[in-house]
Amino acid sequence: MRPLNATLMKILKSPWAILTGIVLGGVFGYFSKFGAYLGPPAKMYLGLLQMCILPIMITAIISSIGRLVKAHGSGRLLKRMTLVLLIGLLATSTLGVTGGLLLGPGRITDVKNQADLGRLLFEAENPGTERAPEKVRGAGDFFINLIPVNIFAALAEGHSLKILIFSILLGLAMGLIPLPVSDQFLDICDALCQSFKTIIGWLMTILPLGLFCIFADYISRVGASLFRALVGLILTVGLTALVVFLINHALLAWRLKRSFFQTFSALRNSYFVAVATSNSFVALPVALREMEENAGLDRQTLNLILPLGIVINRQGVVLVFAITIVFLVQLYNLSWTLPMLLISVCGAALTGMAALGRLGIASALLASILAPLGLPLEVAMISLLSLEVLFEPITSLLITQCNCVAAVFVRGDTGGLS
Amino acid sequence: MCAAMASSPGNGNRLCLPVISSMICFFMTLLIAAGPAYSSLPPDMERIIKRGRLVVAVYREDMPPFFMKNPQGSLIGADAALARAIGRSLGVPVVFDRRADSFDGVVEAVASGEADIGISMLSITLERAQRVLFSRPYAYIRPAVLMNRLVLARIAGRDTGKMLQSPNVRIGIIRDSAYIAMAEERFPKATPVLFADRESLLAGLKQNRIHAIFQSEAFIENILAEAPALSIFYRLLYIPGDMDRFACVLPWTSIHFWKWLNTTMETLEELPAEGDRWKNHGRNWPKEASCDR
Repeated sequence: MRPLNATLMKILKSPWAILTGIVLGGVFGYFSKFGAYLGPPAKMYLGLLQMCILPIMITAIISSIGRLVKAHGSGRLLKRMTLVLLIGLLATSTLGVTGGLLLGPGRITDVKNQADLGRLLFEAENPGTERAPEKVRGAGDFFINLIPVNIFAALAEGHSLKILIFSILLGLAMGLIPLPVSDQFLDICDALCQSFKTIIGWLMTILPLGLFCIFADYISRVGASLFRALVGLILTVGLTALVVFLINHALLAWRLKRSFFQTFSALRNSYFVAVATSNSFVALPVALREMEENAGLDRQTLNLILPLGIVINRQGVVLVFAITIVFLVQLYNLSWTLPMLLISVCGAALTGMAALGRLGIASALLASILAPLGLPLEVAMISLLSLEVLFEPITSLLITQCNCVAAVFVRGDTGGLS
Repeated sequence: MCAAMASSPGNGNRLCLPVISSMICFFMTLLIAAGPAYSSLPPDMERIIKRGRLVVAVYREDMPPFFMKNPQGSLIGADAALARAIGRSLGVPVVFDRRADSFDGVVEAVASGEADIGISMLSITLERAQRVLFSRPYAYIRPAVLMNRLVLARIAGRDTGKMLQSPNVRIGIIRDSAYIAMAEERFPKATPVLFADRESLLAGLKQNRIHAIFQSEAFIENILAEAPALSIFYRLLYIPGDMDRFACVLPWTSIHFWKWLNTTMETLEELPAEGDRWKNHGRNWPKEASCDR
């Protein structure tokens, strides 16, 4: 009985089983009407993964910051982390703008595609049924909303940025109080974090099955006809994202001193979960596990960088935002000036940092960049809302990956925290 | 008095009776002869029925979905269908007079008696109501603006309420239409620019001579239905506030026809209830005769 179990486990954990699950799920969802029936099991599996996100995020940040403060090593690490994140964000943003300039997503010459885009905008702005106008939030609201007035409300509603701020403050305070009980509390946090990671480990064994359900459900929801209007934007994002992915992967392989394929194999579950769930937060626990167990990074660095980065270092979104700005400039035939380029690169990097939640809704943050450029926000929002089904797997993958890269680079100098 | 005379005795009495009865007979005959004059139609109705056709004034250009020519050359659309329904109720065929080169021109044709009725997307305005009679409204339509998106982003940001409140904004309107007065009332600061027809209005918008078009939602949705790519550069925005009401126009002398028309329109099932907003949304507008009732 035991060898059979072991073989089964080995098969389930192999990357081929995962790929098979994804491909079969995709095929099933595309060709069968029953793809939508796999929605409930897909939701159950996702729910179990999501269950672990918040506890891991909170305990990881509290324990890592607490220990960092106690070890008196916080200044250098913070400086290095800020530098790594800033360089990463600006590099991604620049790549996005460059990709957009080279590939020209907004130069729509085909009359049919123009008409399709026009219809898409018309239908989105003038729906057949009456509805309340969408409330667009400004940047001012964003900063006010950073403060968790009621931490339990923030927890209950899953406001990751508020939870992050609360956790950082609690971690700092816990590190500063010179009581033995604070060490015990940090140990408890560690224990909780490890327990939830163990639950994630169990869930990973049935990942191929979970991905099958998730993909079948996903594919059954994607309609191809909608995307014809914005095919240039889709291709540009896809190609530029591929370039960013390969660069990130090369950086990872270089820092981890492994081959290209070995690096992929070490992080495969994080990648697959990020793509399949379109949610970088779901991939966070998986990435924490894999970066520690497969890539050999120390737990303390990871516990700090990954949860923090997943909230504020959202390079996938930065890339999409940068390309969207270029798309609009081209669509409306504006000519580029140096200030416009600078606004686009820096603006995309900054707004991408704050862009949490669904891509289409988060794109309201683009208002503060598009206003000085004199470009219509609603076109950006509608385009991204209608394409978010396609773009979210990409952004989620890049966010997960770029934070692994950040962790590898931050560790590089400090040699870890523990 | 006669009864009193008849009851009194004397020779004159015998003479009185035949005279009176012959007078009564005479008046009865007169009454019977004059009878048909009272039961015939009022002159305004009679004129149409005697002529054997209802002359309907319609604006020269096609304005789908209200009035437009089908490939066979006959007029179709909601306004044409309403005109035919009125003709059917009257028992006469309908003849469309499409010589008017503006909406006010349609009103003029009716006021001068060239046409019996005007059905041509005519908005109810007090100025027009001084000269002609308006029937009850048959369509409730929102005024709308087709706005250049870049201008909108530059001047208004996210507050679309501000967009037409600047003298730098030029609004294109078709000349001699009710929307000129409406624009003066709702956007007093903006600069109106008048165009002869739909084509020149659209050309002005595309050449950036104007920043926006101000007309009814039906007018603008029709433009966008014909050229969907325009939605990339221009945004349709409905103007809140009172709705525009379309009604039939009659000469002020046709009081009875006017009353009859309102009664008839109450019985027409196709017409919306009072205050019901026109819901077509430019999506599935009939281009063929199918919309003809």
